[in-house]
Amino acid sequence: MAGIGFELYKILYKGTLSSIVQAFFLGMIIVAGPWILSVLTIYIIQTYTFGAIADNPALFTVSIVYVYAFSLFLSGGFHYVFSRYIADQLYIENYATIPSALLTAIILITIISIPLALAFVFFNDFSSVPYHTLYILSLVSLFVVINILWIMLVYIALLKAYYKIFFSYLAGTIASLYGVLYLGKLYGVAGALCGYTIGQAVIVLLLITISQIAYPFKKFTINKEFIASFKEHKRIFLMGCFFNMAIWSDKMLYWFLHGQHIPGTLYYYYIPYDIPVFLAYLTMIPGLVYFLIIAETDFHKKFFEFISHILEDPFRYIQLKKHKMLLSLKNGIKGIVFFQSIWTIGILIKLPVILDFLGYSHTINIHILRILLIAVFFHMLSLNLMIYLLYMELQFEAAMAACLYLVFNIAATLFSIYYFQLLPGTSYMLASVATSLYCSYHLYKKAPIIDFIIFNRT
Amino acid sequence: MDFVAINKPDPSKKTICIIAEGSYPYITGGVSAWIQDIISGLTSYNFIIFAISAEEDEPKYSFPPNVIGLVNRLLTAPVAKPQKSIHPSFFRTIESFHNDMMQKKDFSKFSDIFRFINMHRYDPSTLQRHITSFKIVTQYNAIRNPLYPFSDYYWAWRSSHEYMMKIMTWDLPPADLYHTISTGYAGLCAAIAKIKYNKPVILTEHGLYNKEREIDIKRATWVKGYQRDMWINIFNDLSAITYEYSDCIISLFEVNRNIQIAQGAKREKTLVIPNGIEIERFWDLKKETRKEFSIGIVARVVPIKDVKNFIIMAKIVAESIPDVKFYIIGPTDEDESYYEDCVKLVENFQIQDKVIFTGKADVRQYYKFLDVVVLSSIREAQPLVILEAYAAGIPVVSTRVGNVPEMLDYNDILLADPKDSEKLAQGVIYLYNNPDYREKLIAANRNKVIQFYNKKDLIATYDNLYAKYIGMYTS
Repeated sequence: MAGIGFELYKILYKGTLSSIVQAFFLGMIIVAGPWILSVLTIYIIQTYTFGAIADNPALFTVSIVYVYAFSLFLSGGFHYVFSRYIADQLYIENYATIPSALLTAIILITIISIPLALAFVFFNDFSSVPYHTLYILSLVSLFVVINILWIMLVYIALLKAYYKIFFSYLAGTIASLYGVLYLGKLYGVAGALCGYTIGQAVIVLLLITISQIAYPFKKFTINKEFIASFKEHKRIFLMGCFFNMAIWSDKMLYWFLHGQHIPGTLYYYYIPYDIPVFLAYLTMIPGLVYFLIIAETDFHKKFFEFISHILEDPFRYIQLKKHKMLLSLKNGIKGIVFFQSIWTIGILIKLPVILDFLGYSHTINIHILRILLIAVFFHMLSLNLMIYLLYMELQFEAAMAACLYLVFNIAATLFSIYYFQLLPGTSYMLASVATSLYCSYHLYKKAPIIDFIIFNRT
Repeated sequence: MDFVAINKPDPSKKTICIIAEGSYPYITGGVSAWIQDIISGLTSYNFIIFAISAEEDEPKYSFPPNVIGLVNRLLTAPVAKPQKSIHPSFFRTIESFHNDMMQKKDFSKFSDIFRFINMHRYDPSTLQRHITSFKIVTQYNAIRNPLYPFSDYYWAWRSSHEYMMKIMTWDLPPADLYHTISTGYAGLCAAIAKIKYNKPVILTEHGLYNKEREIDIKRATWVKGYQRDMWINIFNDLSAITYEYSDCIISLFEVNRNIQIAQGAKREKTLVIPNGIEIERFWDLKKETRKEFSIGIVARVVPIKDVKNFIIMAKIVAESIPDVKFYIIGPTDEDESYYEDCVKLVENFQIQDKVIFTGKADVRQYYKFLDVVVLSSIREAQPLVILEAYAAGIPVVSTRVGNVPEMLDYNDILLADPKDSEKLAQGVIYLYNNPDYREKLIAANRNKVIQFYNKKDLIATYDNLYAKYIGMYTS
């Protein structure tokens, strides 16, 4: 995503307070726009149900959560390979292949997601849900739409049209809210889900339109090179798959092993953990924005200065570039840790007040949330470290880190459920800490010998 | 070791291992013919051929009965069952060897490196991908190549050292004496045989391997920046290592001997043994007289022989001598695109009716009627063709390469600088216009060949050398 980071960096370095606020706000839109808005939408709908989903509020929320969770759980690898392919094409300035790669990605993800959603429907009995045909149609459509939305999210990082993107989100969110209210009144949960889906589809369509203006499809072709790149980037693919599965595995285990059940369906949910998780996730945003605008952007610049000189320059010059890059890496990590820890610690201290303000002080176990805040800190850190590993072409190490994350999280969650009765979130925190350490170790060991690694690989 | 048994060994005879790189028995030419002559002449020894090649091929020579085996090692083949872990003290040895070599021109620690690599069967690829190797390379890069791209230095090191390390994992067949026909990789093999078996090593250099490689490298457009210097240094060092481990260093003529000494060969080890030919095969050829003036070049149609130079000369000569024929006698299939270029050149000059490409042929049939033999090479050592022509009673006009000036008595009429077709043509035309001079030359040349270049003498000299050094090491 460094491409967009450059633009924000420019805004940031105007140096005024308003430019800093502007840069961070725009960065937030790119990093977490749809995510914040969906959490916000669900929060609004849940808190002020307006009677629209009064007949079965849990079913409505859980349906949406499942769509988000499983779409992310299953498509992580796809996103990373897509992102890498686009980045490579930009690096070699081969812009012509970019729109066709987007088209191919959308078609592929649609083809993959429809049977998955249908299979899910097949194992459920939704007959007790009023207007269940509409419900099933909306559920399958939402799964496809959200999967496409993730792809668009990777893609729009290319576009500099922040405000257009923001207003697309806003328009879609309003459409979702209005849809939920209007159709919910008419058709209950099925109608509400349909209304929500329409709003999300509006976002997707608007984003496609915006991207169409920047990089128009000239010919309706499938990009075979993109499909072939999955073979080349199999480690990145695995890393993405493992990482997304890792961060969802503890939540899912809690659903299925500890959660409440909606009769007739495969839906399980575990309120004591789910709501703190969504709240805690939101605290990751400042760290991610910092990474996007400052850390990654600076590193990207230094990294490419290093890499583009390695074949043409004397050793001392390569070393100079390497040291600048390593310095940027060090400062980047330091910055993320510093910035995010201030934020996290601040929230930890003021947590009772914040919960009071949000009206959650009686429904949420504050200890779980505390653990989760620490977990999310390391989750964000390990994600950023993994991205650094990918830059350094240490794809194997990145894939191993994600694999460790997954295995550790599953094992620790099972242990804490069956043996130690630890608070939910502890396993996720331990896994995140372990993964951060693993990534740090490899960066510490291998980044200083990156020149050796590059020469050895060629 | 991929040893192919050829003939049954005679246990009463001592065994000589001939080490040949890129020549016998796969490539035809002067050096290969010389090896074949030595083997066939020295019937009192068993011979094993240790050939170093770039790719698999079929032998081009039929082996004499005293050849008992053939080993063909490919530089491109991977090391069998290599050991992956590397002893840390190996890198210290590497460093001290390079320091001695660079500062004192002392190659004595080579044997330590060889023992490490050979005993442990270190895989060159594993060795080169080791972090310590990289550190050592960057250290030397800082000394030798501080201002130019590191990648050139790195790649030159990777490609050049890979072959040397690979060779050090090889085992040579046991023998009583090792005779290498060049320095370079063959010389390296001889050195490792000496270290491993403590047997005598004889080196015969027809040309000067490192100088020839230097010319190749300077002409190759794909060798960039420091790569050129490193390759040249390495070939010089390989020559120095070969000299260090050889008991006897032979050159074909004095000039080369002096260069060998200048490159570090100990004077007392050096010796000049010129080429020799079977004079009788050419002496009694029944001469045919043809009405046209016949000029021949006896050479493979390859760039190093500069056949194009000969063709340009032919064009110039044809303008002065109306009734003339040119024969290009030698195989045309070694470098087909070069051959095609030559044919096109002949067509462009419109002298197709005067120039004949004979292909591989029995040269004696042509020596019967040739009036002049021309040599247009860019590089030669001591060309057998000149000796054959002398024995057959044909005067020679040639480029000034290798030992040719001495063989032509520094006769300015008959010598031209490489690529100087005009001067070659003048020499030929002079001979055409001065038949008496031609006769004088023929007589003098025949005497010379009998005196200095008789194959019988050559064989006898090598017989004595083999016996002397084998004796020295057995006692």
